[in-house]
Amino acid sequence: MAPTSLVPTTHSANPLDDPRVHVLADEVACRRMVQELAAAIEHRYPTGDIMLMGVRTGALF
Amino acid sequence: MRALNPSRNVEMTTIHASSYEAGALHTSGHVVLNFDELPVDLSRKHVIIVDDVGDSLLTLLAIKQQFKSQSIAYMSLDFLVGCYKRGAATETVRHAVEPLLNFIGFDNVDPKLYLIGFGMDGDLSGSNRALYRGWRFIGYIDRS
Repeated sequence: MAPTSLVPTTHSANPLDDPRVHVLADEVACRRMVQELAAAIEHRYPTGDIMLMGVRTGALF
Repeated sequence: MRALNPSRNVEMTTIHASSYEAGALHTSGHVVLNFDELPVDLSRKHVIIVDDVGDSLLTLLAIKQQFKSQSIAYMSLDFLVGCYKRGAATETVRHAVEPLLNFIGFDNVDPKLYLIGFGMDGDLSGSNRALYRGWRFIGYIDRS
């Protein structure tokens, strides 16, 4: 039996090679944004328990 | 979560919420919520909802209504990309949701852009393989 290919994609492995893909915020800006989000949470809730609920943002955590 | 002070007592759960059909480019207007693990007691918690895109705000409105009956200490809504100020949300929904907004990462983004990366994926191929979800930047796909 022939092995099943794990990468049968017509898309580029790097999305930035795809001319249709444009960057709105690069990795550095996104990392800074996450830091700012954490700071905003801690500023708003300086004490007490936190329940963090992520909506479709699994990659963030 | 890793960016928060490690001394804080932080619990985390995930909400699967969508108003988009698979492969669709526009919201259906009907939000479906599924919880990995619905917290039983939120009575003394600071509940922080983090969503990727705030466009129609219907998802955040549905979540707010879901927890309406619980005596939560405080609730806030945060999202990474804000599109709703450019006409993607109705005034009624904005009025209901805006008082809870705490943080918008990148605001005033064109709601017509189909965003990818950093947890978001444009399934334009229809294959539902989430090709762009894991990339560490936020971008969009030019569909013209």
